[in-house]
Amino acid sequence: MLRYIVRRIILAIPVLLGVSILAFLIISAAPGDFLDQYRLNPSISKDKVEQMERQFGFDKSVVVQYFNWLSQVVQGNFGYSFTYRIPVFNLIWGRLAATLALSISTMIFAWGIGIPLGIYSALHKYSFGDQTISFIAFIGISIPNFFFALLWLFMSAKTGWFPIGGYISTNYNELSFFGKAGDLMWHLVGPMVTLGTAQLAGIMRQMRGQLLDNLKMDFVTFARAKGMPEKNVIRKHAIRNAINPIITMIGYTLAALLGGAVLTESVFSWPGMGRLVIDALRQQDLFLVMASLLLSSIMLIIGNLIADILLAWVDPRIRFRLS
Amino acid sequence: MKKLLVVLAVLFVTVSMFAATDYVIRDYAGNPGGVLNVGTLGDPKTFNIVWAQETSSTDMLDWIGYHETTGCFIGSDQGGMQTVPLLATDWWFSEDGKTAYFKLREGVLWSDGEPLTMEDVLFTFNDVMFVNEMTANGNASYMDANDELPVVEVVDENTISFAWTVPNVWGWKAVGATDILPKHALAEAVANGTLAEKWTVDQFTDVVGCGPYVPEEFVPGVYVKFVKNPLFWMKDSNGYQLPYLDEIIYTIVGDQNAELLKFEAGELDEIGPTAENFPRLAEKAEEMGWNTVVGGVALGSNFITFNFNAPDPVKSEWFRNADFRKAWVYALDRASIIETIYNGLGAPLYGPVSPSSGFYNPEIEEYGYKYSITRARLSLKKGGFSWKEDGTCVDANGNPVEFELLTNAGNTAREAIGAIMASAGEKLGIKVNFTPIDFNTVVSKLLEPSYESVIIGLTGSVDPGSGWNVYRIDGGLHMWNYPPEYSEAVSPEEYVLPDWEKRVDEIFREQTAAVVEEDRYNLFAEYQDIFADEQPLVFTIAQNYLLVYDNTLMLANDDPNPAAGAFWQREGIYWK
Amino acid sequence: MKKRKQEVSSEEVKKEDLFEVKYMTRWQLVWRALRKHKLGLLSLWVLAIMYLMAIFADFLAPVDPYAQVQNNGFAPPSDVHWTNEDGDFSFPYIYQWSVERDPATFRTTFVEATTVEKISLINGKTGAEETYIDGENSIGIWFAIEEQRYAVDAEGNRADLGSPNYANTQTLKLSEMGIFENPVLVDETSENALTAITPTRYRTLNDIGEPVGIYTEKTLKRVFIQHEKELEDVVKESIAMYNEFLDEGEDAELIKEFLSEVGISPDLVYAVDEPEILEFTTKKYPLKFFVSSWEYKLLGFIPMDLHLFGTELPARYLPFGADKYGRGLLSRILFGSRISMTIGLFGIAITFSLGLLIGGAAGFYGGAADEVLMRVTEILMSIPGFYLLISLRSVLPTGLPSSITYLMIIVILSLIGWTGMSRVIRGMVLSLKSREYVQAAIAMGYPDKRVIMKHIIPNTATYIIVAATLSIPSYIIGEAGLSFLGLGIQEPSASWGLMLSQAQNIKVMTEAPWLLIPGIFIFIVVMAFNLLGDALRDALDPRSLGY
Repeated sequence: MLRYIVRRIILAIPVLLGVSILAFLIISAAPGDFLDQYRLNPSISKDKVEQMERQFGFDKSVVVQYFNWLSQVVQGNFGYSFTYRIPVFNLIWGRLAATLALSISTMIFAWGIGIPLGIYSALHKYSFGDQTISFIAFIGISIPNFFFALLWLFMSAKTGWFPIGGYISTNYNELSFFGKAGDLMWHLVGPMVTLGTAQLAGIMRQMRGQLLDNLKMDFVTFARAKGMPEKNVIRKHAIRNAINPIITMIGYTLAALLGGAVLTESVFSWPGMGRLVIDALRQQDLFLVMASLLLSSIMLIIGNLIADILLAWVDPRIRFRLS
Repeated sequence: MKKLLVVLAVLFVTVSMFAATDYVIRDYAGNPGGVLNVGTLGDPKTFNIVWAQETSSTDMLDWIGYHETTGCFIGSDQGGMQTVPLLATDWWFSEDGKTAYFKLREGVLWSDGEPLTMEDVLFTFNDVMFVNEMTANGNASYMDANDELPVVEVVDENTISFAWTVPNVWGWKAVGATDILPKHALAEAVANGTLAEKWTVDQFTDVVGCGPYVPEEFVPGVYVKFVKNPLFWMKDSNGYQLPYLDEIIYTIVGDQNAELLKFEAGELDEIGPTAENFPRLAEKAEEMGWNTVVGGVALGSNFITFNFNAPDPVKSEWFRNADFRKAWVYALDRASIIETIYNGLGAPLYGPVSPSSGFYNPEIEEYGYKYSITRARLSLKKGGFSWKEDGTCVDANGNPVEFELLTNAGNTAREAIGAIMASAGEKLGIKVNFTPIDFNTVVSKLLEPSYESVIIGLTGSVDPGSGWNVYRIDGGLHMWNYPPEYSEAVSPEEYVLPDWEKRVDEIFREQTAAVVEEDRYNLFAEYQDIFADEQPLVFTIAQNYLLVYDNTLMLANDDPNPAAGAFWQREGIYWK
Repeated sequence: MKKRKQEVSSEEVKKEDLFEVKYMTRWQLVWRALRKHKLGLLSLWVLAIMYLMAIFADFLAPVDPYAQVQNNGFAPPSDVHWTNEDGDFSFPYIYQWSVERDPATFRTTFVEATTVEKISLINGKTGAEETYIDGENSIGIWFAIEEQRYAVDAEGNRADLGSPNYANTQTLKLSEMGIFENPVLVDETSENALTAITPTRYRTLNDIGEPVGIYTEKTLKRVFIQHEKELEDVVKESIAMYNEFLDEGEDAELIKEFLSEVGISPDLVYAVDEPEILEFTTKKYPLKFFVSSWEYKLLGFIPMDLHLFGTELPARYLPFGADKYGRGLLSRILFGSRISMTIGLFGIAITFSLGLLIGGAAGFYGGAADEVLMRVTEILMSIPGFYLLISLRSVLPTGLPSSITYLMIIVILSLIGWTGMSRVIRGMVLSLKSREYVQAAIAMGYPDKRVIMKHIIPNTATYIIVAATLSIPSYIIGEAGLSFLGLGIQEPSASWGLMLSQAQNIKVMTEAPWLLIPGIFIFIVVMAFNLLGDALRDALDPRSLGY
């Protein structure tokens, strides 16, 4: 197993190189660059724009630009953001807490509710409960996050039960430890439910479908036939086999942990990574974009690795193959 | 912590008593205390005034005294004209008009207690503003007609002079509006060339200013807090040291809907609503205790530009034809765009200067431009166009008229203008292929130039002189007719430079030298007249300035408008 | 419970359908199983109807989905009247919407308005009695109404607010029909209006005391008879010129001369000055089936103007109200379904076939093949789609219709979007491959292709069906995000995602909630696809087919 992990980590290097080359090429191929907003400013002269082009290295070829960047990255320097003029690492670091708070809680919410609901639905196929859960799930995936968020804010404003967006209250610093935790949770509910409901529906429906498949398998019938208690049949045999695609899905959900969710973050004024990165994308803040891309591919590689290990753990037949 | 600051501050004041502060006295009398809650869309990107570009950054710097609010020589009045003495108590020109003199106010302190002296002024200009690499905007606006920077000289203890090779009003204005920077805080960064990395978003509390407020706390993406500057150098008519408000809290909201809900819930005290949401607020204003303001129209406007050097020579021939362009001035149903986009809260524009500017020339209204398909047809006919049996418009050589119109996707006003223009084209038998496309593609095509026509807008200001980069022939944004020296896409054989263009270029050079304000007004009046007559850029519509705020909040500005907004002279804002 | 059902179904199979089971093809069996699934069948019907609606959208749409109608922005659903003025039952009819704007708050409200069908009047200048019928010999009846706003103080002194202006219109508000006898007075007094007028804006207010009321006086000045077909804007223009000239006391000949000079036919309109109205009838627009209205081409080539239901022009039946640009929402939903219900399927088809193929190969062959394919997948998953799209946009010509651009983008996005799918399939195949029946098939020497297609892929069917049906809303809704890059469906084309994204703001939620109706359609389609997916899943299960 250890050898397998080490091999995967070594293989991650060419993947990351490939990602960075492709991304750099594609970004350079896109029309315009960060200086476009300066070019459209009536009080900035052409000379000044050209001077900044040299400063940012836009006058050099893509290849030179790429290798300049790469040599910096290898030394652990991810470069400066053109917009903020601070190291991109600091920017991302500043958003990390809020991003993780939201994505982890959303994950717990979505998976924690989605999987049990899926199992319930499968075990009570076409019952009233199953139909109701499915119906609500369809509503969940049909409503765009943006709209759900807006609706939530509107209700919050009307009832006062939840804050109208935001991450912490303006008097946060004066609160006690429990007060701070409570304040954060209070703000967290809205974006978490918004993001969670959409994911929840997918998880629940997949879990339901897979379990239904496995409940009809011969090994389940056999386990039942030999008099195994129904609970054990389902837990030890059916669910264990049904969970396979769900595990792979967890893998790339992990990759999205640091990605943030732009629209929901915007409506809820949540200071997450999504808003930071989308601005960087729009303004072509090259190094910030590259850093966030690399970060998400690292997360992806880790997520996939964890998923593969989990797959092997759940299904012994796969483990044999991997090692 | 705050108490400690005050004690320290008082200490500093006593220490620096030897240079008695020459206070600015404002003629209002308000109540001290209170907190102001404001919303802002988008994070500040930097707190460094010479690198700040977007309003989300400069809105913050306003409170610390930067961005032409309190920390420059001459401030703006309610009409946006530079007349209010700030750090300069007086200013005058030499006989020949080439040298401008400023007398520096005495006893002003930086928010960290250091005195603001001539050293800071010299540092600001010689070491920062005149060095092209040091600032985001570069040093071009300080140059005179010969592209020379002024020679700075300290005349006496408190007087400084800027000498150009020719009279340069524009340069004087630029100097007057330049924020003076604290040498003691920035000299090191300037010396090692890292000024741009100074006072960034993670150094908020390091920022030193001479404004009414000082930075307190910044949580990225959440809020920005300012507290009162106890060392501020203005007093009200009762002798109370300004400002009145204790604390300013900017909540960063990610979305206009959220901002609206927050304002309605009373979490924010002021909002600049969209025209669409204005009725909703205006209806409730009485009940909720809000004041609503419908001010003059915005300074910037969206316009349509036709490329005189379009890739297709047949089309560039049309675009160079003033009658063709004027047809569009008539054919655009501006009233209908204002209805749909601005909910009736806007005005049509037929020239480059907004009626909100003191430089607006009302005489251009005599051209009698209005929505009229008939006149559009007449204008086309005059320009040599005619119509085939099936109603298709053709040029003198029989080519059917059809062209591409681009704008950046996501801008509702521009998309609506494009849609109306396409439908106007249908009425004229002209096929307008309107395509909204991403912003960067539009900019690339615009500057190359490889576009046919584009709807775009530029930031406007009160003084038309700030548009030199657009109107001078060699300007980087002279997008409708770039000279061949600018771009390889323009062939020297095809390039045509009409006389009126030369005259506009001349005006924009001459105005910098016109010492008498009236001469400048006349020059700009002529330029507006030329533009109204030739319509190289077809201007469209501008929205009214809209503001809704708590009616117990007393603004220093009794008439908020695009040139001087809600927070004009912010040190005088107080709670009733 | 569940077990019993299963037994019943297999018993049924054994007893009644033995023959069919033996001799029907697999797909016939699937269809038979599907038919037994009530909800699934219902969904199938719903989808079939939706697709028919998409095909015949133009026939079903009561108004033109692309025509922007000024002053009809955010118009509410049409008010259908079932009774006439006397309160008796009549066939349903509607009026047109006319907009009123509060000059203080800028709030717009809609009131019913209609045109005049027939009018008899005495020409004040000539004294002749004349009668006109709207629509006959391309005649149009226009009214020039002079509007003057004024304020009054407590003593009744009057101060005019601005100079009078003309409204030249064919439609009259029902509330203003009295204008044919006397000038109409509209009371606008409100707290807001009174605070909005200030002496700085209206100098005349200095002449009177504190204003207590604001009124608008509307007077019918002239009636115009349009004689030739022409653009509405041009007719209005010539009427405006007549008003201007006649008010200055010029005679009609001079106006005609001027009109022909500016290129307007001098006989386009005829002015009846100082009219005295003797008699008039207003028009009601009955709602009818098979009515002729706006023109279109059925199936793209048969020119027609027949519609299933609606009213005659110029009235517009708006069962779901109108959007920001005054276009009928129902019509746009119908037209939008053409895009929203088809393009996503393309994307799913490409994504899923690629995902299956590559995921299947990686899982089946394992080892080096798996390693290489999965690492490539990881690279592709990290590609910045945003920039890829922008770059593509700059390569694509701008003249293409937005649906074609969008289709191309969907294809390209699907070409890099299969990665998640392939990873899940690969994980499942890894597990399936070691199942006994697969091992048996391999041992029997079946070719790989057959093992994958016949033994492995069918076992991933559940995942594929659920994933596919679940991804439909993201295609429908997600497309709106592309519009910001100039890549999705662009105005004036319609799609449900775009319509819904434009409706997502506080104003719409509180003041024009009918604009959220596309969301209901999205929900119905998503639900139908998912329920159909469920039914298909059950039907595809070999055990329920009686094998």
